[in-house]
Amino acid sequence: MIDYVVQQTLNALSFGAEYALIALGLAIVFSIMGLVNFAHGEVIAIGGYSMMVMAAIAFKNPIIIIVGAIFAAVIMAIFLERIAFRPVRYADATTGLLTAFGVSLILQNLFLLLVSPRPIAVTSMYFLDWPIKLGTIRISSLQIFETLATLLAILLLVLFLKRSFLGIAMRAASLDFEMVRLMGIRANRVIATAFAISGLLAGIAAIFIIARRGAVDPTLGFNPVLKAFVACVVGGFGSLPGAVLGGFLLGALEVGMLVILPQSYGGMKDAFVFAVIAIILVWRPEGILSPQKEKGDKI
Amino acid sequence: MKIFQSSKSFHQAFWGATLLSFIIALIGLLVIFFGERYHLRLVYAAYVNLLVVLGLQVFMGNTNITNLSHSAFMGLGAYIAAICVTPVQIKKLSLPDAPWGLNTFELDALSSALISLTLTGFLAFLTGLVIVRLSGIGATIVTIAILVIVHSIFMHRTDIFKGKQAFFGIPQVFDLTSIIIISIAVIFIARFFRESKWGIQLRASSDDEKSADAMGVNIFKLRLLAWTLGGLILALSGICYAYYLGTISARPFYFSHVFLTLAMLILGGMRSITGAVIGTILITFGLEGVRFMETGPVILGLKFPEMLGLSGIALGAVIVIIMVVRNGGLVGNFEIEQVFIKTRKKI
Amino acid sequence: MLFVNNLSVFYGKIKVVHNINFTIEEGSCVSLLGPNGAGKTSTISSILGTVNSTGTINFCNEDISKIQTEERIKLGISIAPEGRRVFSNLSVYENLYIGSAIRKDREKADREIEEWFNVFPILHERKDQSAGTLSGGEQQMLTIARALMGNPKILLLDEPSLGLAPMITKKVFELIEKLKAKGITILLVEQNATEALKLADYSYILNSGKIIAHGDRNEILKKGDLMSSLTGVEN
Repeated sequence: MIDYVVQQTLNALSFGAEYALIALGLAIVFSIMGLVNFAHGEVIAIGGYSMMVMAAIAFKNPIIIIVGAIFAAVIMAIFLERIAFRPVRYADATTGLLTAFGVSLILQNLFLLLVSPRPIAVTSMYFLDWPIKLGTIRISSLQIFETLATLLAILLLVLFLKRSFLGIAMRAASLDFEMVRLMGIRANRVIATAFAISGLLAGIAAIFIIARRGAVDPTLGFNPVLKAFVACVVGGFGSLPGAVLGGFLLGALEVGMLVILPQSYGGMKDAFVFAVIAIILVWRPEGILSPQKEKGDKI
Repeated sequence: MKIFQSSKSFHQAFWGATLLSFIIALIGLLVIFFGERYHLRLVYAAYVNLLVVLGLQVFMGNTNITNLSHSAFMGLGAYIAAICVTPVQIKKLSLPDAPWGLNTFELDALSSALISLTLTGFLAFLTGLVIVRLSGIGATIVTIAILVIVHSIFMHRTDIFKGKQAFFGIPQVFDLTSIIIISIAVIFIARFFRESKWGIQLRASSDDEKSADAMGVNIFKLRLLAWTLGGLILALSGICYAYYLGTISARPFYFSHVFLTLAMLILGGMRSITGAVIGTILITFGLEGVRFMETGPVILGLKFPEMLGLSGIALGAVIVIIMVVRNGGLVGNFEIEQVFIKTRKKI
Repeated sequence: MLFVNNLSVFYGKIKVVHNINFTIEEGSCVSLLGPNGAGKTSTISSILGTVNSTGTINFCNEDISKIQTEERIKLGISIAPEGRRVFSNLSVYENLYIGSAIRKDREKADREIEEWFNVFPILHERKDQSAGTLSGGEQQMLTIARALMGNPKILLLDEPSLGLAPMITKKVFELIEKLKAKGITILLVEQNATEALKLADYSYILNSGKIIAHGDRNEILKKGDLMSSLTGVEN
């Protein structure tokens, strides 16, 4: 029984880690510029496709592929900000959300058009995945890597936000963006950094998603981002601790549903998870850890 | 109870809806008289989409909250009507394991439609109770949750909905003429709602929630009204869909349809009924062209490659370009009768 | 040092400041007075480039009216905005640190932070506490200190006494007095005309977006009836 609990807890952690990674990427952009970046999933997909390309042109070294995939995701995120989101930077949230939807739609179909509508095998990350037996508990090394990588990423992000100049500027910008500009810090620089970080986190997520699925298709990132989006809202949109909390909560909820629901209802897992989320939102419309917003009314 | 604040808003709504109805009827009649058989089906589907876009407009256009669950309500409307109206012999075959005796009764088309409207409307009301309490992004997330929940129920409860497989044997009740009439009725409903005192108060409150609240406008109730009315129109669109095509499946009631109809509404301009109609017409025709290119046609001796995904790119591009260049859509707040009737100039 | 020529400010199509002109000499303290809604903050915002405006703004022999906000700050314009706007979730130290964003001389800036801590021991005491927990007066001191961390050529002070108790207001004006004595160029926007007139070398009175009077303290006070109705100064 204890074994079972430990096993499921580890499952929940690794699920939650993935959602937390993606949710953090969404939250960091939202906290700075109020944009709900639905195209984040396609940044993840770019990570996946870049691995496919690198494998195809005979890169065998996994370090190169990992670094390359993260790099591709970062570049993609910065690129999207530059061409699609900069024009709607100061527009209302609905405009930003719909723009991001449009961008997501374009990219998904570009993958479909330029690569293939079908999944393409990418096996170069399989080496991360081997079974580990601890007594009667059986887990995958991937789960451990994923949880550790997420914790490490969170730790580095916290250090960056607390210690570095740009990090402090970004925290300031999430409170009062205009005041940061009035300190002489370029808006473009802060926002590009936010997108770069979100791309970095998406790239890490892409590596683990590919390692688990072994294939890339145009909707690779869409469903995970949908979940991460929900995690963000539950945690309190724009709050970074909220995104992490929401991510792990969602992971726990999913595993919990798989445990509780009878086998025949397994397919309905998402329906139940989303229903619970809706109920949480009714209870706390602003999310569990909603960020403080303080802005001057003038200027 | 007074529905309109002034007779002027009633006149505007009436003439605007009449003009749009005229356009809609004209297009339909041209197709009925001159169209090929396969055109009829396409045009019918376009009218169904018009109903969806109008249903979406009633909530989104008046509250400025992005709704992404509309295709789910359309699906509910379609499935509920289909389950009621399909003959018992067919249901015994297609839904042998249906619970609650769903495969032991059949109703006439009108009763089925009414049951579908009532049930879907009730579900809209219930979900609305949640939606209207949330602001902006929270509300949008819950609409996504609704879409995902409904879709996974459709996909998973194959004993009732058949999931990915076709739910077949629905008698054909409607033809193109019927849906033209229904579209016209819905245009009037949506336009009258927009100009009604509730619609005006709602639009005012979407601009400035706090001051509308201070003026004693009950935003929650008004939003709930718009949401439920939208839900009913969406249910109606689903019924029309099922009553013509004869077979339905869960796939079309998900994200791709959500995006398609959303693009239609955004292109025209979600704040106006004229915009909703124009957007639907433009995207419908535009997409036919793009789909033609998608198949890899030969034009002027040039063989184009097959380009799957082109229509999705086009839709996405429409959304992005409109948002960047003109986020009120092509017509913004404009309504068609303003071509003929001079209205007060807005600042 | 700062020449504002034929400046108009627009919010959408509505014009809130009408073709005003004023000048600030290096090392002087100029005040911009007027009732609520006179266009004082709009004028400041146009100098900073955060609102749409027409006309020219010449700063240190350079027309800055077309360049980005961030670039203007880098040229040496600093703002302590109305309503203080400290970064409430950041610590006091971090607020000052962000204030020195445009500085290249990191070490000197760090020493200056220490100096500010000497001037305001309360800020030192709370340097790791979030700025949102400070009192209104402390936040105002922090805001001014933060603005000065950028080592500006001109300091814009927008309603520094707004919403503060009389005792605290007095301290704020004492601080401004000290800054003036140090030779810092100041543009002071105020509703508290009595104090502002005492401080300023030259004043402009703004009403409904137009400059209706200007001069030094005595000249302004001569126009007593106008003054008392506008700003509540007793003769």
